[in-house]
Amino acid sequence: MTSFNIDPLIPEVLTLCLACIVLMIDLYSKNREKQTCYLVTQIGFAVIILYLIGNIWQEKTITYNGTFVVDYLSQILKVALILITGVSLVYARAYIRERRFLRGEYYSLSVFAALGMMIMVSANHMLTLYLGLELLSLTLYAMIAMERNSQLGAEAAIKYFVTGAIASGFLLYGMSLLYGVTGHLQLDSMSDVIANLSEHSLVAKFAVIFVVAGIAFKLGLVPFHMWIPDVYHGAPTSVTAFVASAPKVAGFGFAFRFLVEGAQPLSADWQQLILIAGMLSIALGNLVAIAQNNLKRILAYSGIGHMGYFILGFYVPEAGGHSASMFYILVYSLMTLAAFGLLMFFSRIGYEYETLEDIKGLGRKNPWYALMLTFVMISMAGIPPFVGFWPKLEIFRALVADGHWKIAVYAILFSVIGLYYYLRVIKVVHFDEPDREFLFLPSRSIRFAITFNCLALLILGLIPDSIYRYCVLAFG
Amino acid sequence: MEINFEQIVFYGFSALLILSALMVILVKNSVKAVLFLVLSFFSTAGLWMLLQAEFLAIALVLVYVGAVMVLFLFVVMMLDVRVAAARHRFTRLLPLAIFIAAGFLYLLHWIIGEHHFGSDVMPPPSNVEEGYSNVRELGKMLYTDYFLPFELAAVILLVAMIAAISLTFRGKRSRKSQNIDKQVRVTKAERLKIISYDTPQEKDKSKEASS
Repeated sequence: MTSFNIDPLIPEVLTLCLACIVLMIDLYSKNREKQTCYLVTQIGFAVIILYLIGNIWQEKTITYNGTFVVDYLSQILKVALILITGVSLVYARAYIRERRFLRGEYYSLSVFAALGMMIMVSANHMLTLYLGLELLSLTLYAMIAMERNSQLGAEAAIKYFVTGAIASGFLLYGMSLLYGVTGHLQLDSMSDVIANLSEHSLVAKFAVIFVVAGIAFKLGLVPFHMWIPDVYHGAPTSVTAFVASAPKVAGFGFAFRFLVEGAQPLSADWQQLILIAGMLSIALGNLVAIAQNNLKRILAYSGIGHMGYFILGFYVPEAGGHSASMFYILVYSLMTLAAFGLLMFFSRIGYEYETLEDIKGLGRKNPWYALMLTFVMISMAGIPPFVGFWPKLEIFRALVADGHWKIAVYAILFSVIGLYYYLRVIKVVHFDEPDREFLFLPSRSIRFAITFNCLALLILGLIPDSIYRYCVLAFG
Repeated sequence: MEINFEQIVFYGFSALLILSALMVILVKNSVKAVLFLVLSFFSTAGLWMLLQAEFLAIALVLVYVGAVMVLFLFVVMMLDVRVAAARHRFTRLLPLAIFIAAGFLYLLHWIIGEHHFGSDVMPPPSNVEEGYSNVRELGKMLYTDYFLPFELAAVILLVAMIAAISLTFRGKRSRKSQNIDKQVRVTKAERLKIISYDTPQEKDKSKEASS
């Protein structure tokens, strides 16, 4: 038994302490706006990010009896996760205050969710992976149902809970079979055993199908996508912004740890599954989004399509597919955060601006935020010079470099089809006559955050290397 | 083939487990279903005892049967669910469901049947020596090798508690906070009541004031 070294776990320990401190402050604060909770949460996040950046260059070390792994990838993903969570809280604050469900638990649950995601991206053991995932899911179920007076919110929470429980069941069944075959819960030793497996390889393949189904559910890939539109639509917009962004990054970490580090010898089998799920997602997401009228549902279906592009990177690992996928997921969460942030900003008490009619003629009344919405939509559609273009290009490049140009052409084709509904939003905003006044959330912080977030899409698009470099380094 | 005592116990408990698990989903009365679930937990505990996992067996009985299922029983008794009504259209898709279930069962048998997990492939666990303590081994594992998952499970329970409180607790009833929405939305008709009546007292009052 070697001596105990707490260093690799410090970010998680800090996050847990932060969550408990926020919980205690909430208990004793008389302030109805919970300003202290909010400030402490954000300062705590800043401290953790600074600590992570200070220790970002980590050699890959597996510690705590193989349950935990720290490497450059995990550090970068953790920084991204905490940053996204923090920004989503900036957006959420004004929104949940107006909606009267501003409670201290919103902040502490967000911190707990961040903890679960941090565990997911640096787990090296099936138990830690699963527990991190459950920690995340449990907080999300609660946050979706937090707006008590909302019927849709309660419905979305129940739907997410039931389908999420089934997906967890799939995942656990696959994990138990893999444990039965290999005798290991630790991912790297499991991978070694699978590589030398002869007679039980069929069982291992069967088990991996269940695991892929579980992961596809959590990411919202096509045969398991049914929950996404309803949950995105029903949840309060602030929670939707969170559910649609950070957990996807954590899902990338989960998929990478399990499929690549744990089940690499079976890659020939799970890559086929992922390819089909990805191609179906691209088609369904982009086609069904055309028929939607509700902005939240449009974004939900576009999210399904984006997940399809993202997962294709796992199909071509030799051509830099993993770094392309990581780039894609980071950029996607940035874009989706901006999109839902704008929706939150447009909403006011008792009324949600969420259908296309609601934002008709926004460009005449408020050109600046209409421009911001245009930035987000163009970036999501993947048009240069916005940042959304580069990860798509990177995925296509990886596909072509590995000789799958047919898949690349298919993906580009649906990307062009998808252009329609993004441009339709822009058309409605700029070319339709306004028929109402717009009253936005009276909050300076959300205005700054939105503007900053949307302009970042343009600026990062001009210097895409600023993110992509780290993605390449993480797998280098 | 000679059948020893251990095998009799194993097959007895297994049969009881399968039977009670089937009854859980087949009986119409939901209270009875819960009681059958309790029985199936008991038989599982018996099977674990055979595996010499006595601590887990006792914990199962104490925690699940003693606490969780009793709570569950209370809830079921209070709710008075009309199961028959809920099952009204359940049989509509029965042929398809049976087809899928049978296909899946066959697939499962093919994959994890005795060909891959039979007793000739997977050796039975060896008997432990005298003086072996289940609790000590579990404790050692939990607090050393698996301390991280153990702590995570604790955090999950904490989150479950916070979530449950935050979703159900609606603040103190006696709170006298203002509801600004209501205050703003108030109309004249709600607050001001104009009653017209003759006021003979006015003369008296003016008299009093002068005197």
